[in-house]
Amino acid sequence: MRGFLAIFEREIVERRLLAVAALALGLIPPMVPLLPGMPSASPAELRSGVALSLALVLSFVFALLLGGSVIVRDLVEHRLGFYFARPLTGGAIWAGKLAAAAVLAAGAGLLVLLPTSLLGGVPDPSGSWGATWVALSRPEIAAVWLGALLLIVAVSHAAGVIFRSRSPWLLVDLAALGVTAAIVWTCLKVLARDGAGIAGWGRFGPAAPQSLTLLQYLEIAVASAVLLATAAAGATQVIRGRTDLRRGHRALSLVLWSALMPASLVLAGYTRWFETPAPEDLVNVHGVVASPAGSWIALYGQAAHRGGSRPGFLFDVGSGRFVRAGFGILSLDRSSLVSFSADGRRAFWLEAPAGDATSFYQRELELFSLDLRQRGASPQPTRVFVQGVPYAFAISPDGRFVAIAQGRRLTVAEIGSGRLLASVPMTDPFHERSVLAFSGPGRVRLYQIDSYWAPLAAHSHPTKLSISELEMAAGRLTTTGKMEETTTSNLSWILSPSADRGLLRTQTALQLRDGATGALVATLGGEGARASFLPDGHIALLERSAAGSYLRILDAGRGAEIRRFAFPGIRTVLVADQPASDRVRAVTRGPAGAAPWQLWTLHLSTGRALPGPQLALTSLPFEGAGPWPKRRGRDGVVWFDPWSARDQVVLRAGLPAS
Amino acid sequence: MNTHDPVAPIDPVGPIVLEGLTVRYGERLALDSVSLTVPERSVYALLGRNGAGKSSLVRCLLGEQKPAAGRVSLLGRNVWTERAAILKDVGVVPEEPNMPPAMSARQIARFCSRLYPRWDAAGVEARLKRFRVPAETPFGRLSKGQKGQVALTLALASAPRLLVLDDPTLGLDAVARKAVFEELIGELADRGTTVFITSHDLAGVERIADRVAVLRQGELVLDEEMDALKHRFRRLSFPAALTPRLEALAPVAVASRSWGIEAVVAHYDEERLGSPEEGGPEVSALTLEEIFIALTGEEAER
Repeated sequence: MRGFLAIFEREIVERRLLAVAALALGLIPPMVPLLPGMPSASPAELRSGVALSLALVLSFVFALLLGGSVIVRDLVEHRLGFYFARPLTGGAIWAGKLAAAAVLAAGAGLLVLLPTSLLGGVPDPSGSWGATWVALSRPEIAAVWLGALLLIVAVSHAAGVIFRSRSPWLLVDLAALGVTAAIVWTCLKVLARDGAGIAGWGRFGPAAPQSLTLLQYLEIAVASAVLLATAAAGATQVIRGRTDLRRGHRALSLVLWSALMPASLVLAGYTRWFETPAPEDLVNVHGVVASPAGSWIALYGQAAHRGGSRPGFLFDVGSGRFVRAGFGILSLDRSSLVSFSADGRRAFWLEAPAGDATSFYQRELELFSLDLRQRGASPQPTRVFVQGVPYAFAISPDGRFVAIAQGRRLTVAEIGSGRLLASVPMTDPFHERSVLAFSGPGRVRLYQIDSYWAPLAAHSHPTKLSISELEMAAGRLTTTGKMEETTTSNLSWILSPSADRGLLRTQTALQLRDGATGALVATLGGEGARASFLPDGHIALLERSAAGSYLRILDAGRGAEIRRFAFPGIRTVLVADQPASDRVRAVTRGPAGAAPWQLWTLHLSTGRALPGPQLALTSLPFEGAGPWPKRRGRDGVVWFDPWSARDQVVLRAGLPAS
Repeated sequence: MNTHDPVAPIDPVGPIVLEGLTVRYGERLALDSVSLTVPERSVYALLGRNGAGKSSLVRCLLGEQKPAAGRVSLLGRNVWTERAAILKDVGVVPEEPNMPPAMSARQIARFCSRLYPRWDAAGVEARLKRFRVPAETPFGRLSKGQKGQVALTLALASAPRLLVLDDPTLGLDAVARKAVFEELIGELADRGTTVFITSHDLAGVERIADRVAVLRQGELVLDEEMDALKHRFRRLSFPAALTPRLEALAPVAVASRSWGIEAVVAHYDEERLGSPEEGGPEVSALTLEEIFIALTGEEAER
């Protein structure tokens, strides 16, 4: 310690003129507002800004120059032997000199600030930095600044040794630097692309907007690893190499790269792990979309230890087979960007091409597809591109065309060829929720729903839904209908498979509306009524009473009842699917929360309800906002879908019949 | 032993022990398995031409350089692993005085005083005065002789048990050289410090050295007491007819003169040659420089 202090003090005293120079530079910021042409509105702010910038630049320049010279110059000029001929350890020589370099650099920065501080208080850097990165407190900014100074000192010392020793090890260093930098750069790019740069997300927004993101933590970890490795390598260079610069260079390189290369491989391993989550890793499921037929669902959410990344999966609820897909990160606060063909055999979604690390809001996205019937199939790009995250997209029932509402345009393209079929401007594109549907050959219908505005949630407010139809051949988008309801909550709009009818649910009523004009066809129920369309276009309406539940099958044309099924004493009835035109499958659950799920097959022609086996279903927490259960029921998945405001269930294929 | 004790018993091993010291620079062999022992309280002079390996040996001796093979023991301890602790008892004068050029002799002395347990600050001032070295002038602005004197002053100020001098008079004029050796002699008379010195100033070394070693192209070719060395080396002058008798003495250098033969022999034996009165050669003693030239084959640099 005595040796360290002696060297530290000597270095400071020897370079005391640097402090004088810094103090002299510190006199510049107070004079800047007096210069002609300078803005006169806020001289104090101008002084502070110039002082902070000058302090930052000067401290970094001093750290760079001193770090690269305090030891290396002595070595090159054969003066380090003076210290090694004394009872001083190599560690004390290294630490004393580099600590002095860091203190001189930091001191120079503070001295630059001194005159400005005396004039008008200490400049506050937290506001200006907080706007661009995260809101840091002054102590945190000081810690980051000092850490950066130490990093620069250590790295410039290592660089000085490497470049001034004129050793063949320079080639090793350059090669290792290239490999390590490439690994780290690629990893950070991949992590940024996959959402590590997003703050942790809750169901409706960032969980902790002031906290650092995972990517920022990783960047700090990388910087810390570089600092530790260069510090250890620099110390070894002095301790082992002593007065021999070339020998020291060899020692430095061995330590530096034997630390940094494995560290970069660890980062590569973490990145690989980050990239390959499984549904079981989801700690928060943010969205689930069911295939209209079959047992596949798409789900996305937040995975464990992956920051704000939101991986997406196509998941077969029966077999547990899953395929990763990049739609999760895009589905931040909009309706889902994944869709299925009507037969449930193909899935389509939008994701950023690999390697694109730009902000996901500005990315060029490509439509991908996956053949769900083919085991081992991988996602296939379709050559259909869209610039930025769209408001909505839809796949035609036959899976041949895609319609996309993005920016100010509604676009239709052929999936196989990528050929653009139509692209028209939207008159009023700024709706938070939009629904697209192919309403017939060559026709696409666009439903735009006013955004849900939280401050109005407690009060009744008018909510509008406008309907437009695109005629592809004519390239014309025509408004065909409008609806307006006063509600205290979001409108829920469910469209029939052929898009000729829609179910509009407000807080107080469930209405059957014309799909093209929005005209009221029938009021199907009041508060608490839940309905959905069956694949054949009929309506399944669930009503509850004190005695139990009723499932009514309605004609979509007028809303007339075709069949009614009673479930006495049962509160929960969920329509699952329609395996044949005459049969509907439903699941029920008794009043007790832990009661088993019961499968029913409902015969529409006879009105008979035949009980099937009891089922083990995976039940996601309310609105899907919760972890993916580790112990999954293998017969299906049940969850609440906030967009349709109803519980949904998907059963595995091949369940035993009634 | 870390602390200096003027009456400490003589280390039977010796304050400096080199065993099989080998130094390589790539393919070049700078030191080839050099072994030597420096006795306690002796003045040991290592001689050699430029490039013979003296500087490499001194760097290894001071723990600045790790040898390719061999062991260096200083004051009974491994100098590579315990350098800092050992150097509390060692004074060093480097070949090229390498003090920080911006610091004055007084500032350097103040810096060093914090590192040694027995720093003689008054002695430093006295020596600087005696050498007439300005104490407040930056080291970089001192003359070469003054720099050497500052280095010697600092080396002696720590009251070392061992003094390592790497050509301390290199580039000094005659007056400065004389001052250095007189200071050394005074130090030796006062404290009996062990001295390891390399020098090209053979006349100066001859005045103080107890033992001499010679390095030639990385090999130690001589390691002997000064008195014994000077006793066995003689210059012989005799007519050419005596040549067969000369060959029996294995001369290390032979020169033909107009009057006969002049030779230097390493193992002079008066009984075998006979005195000049008996028809034998004329015999004269050699200086250390003459012995060195005879051994290394060429004139030493001055």
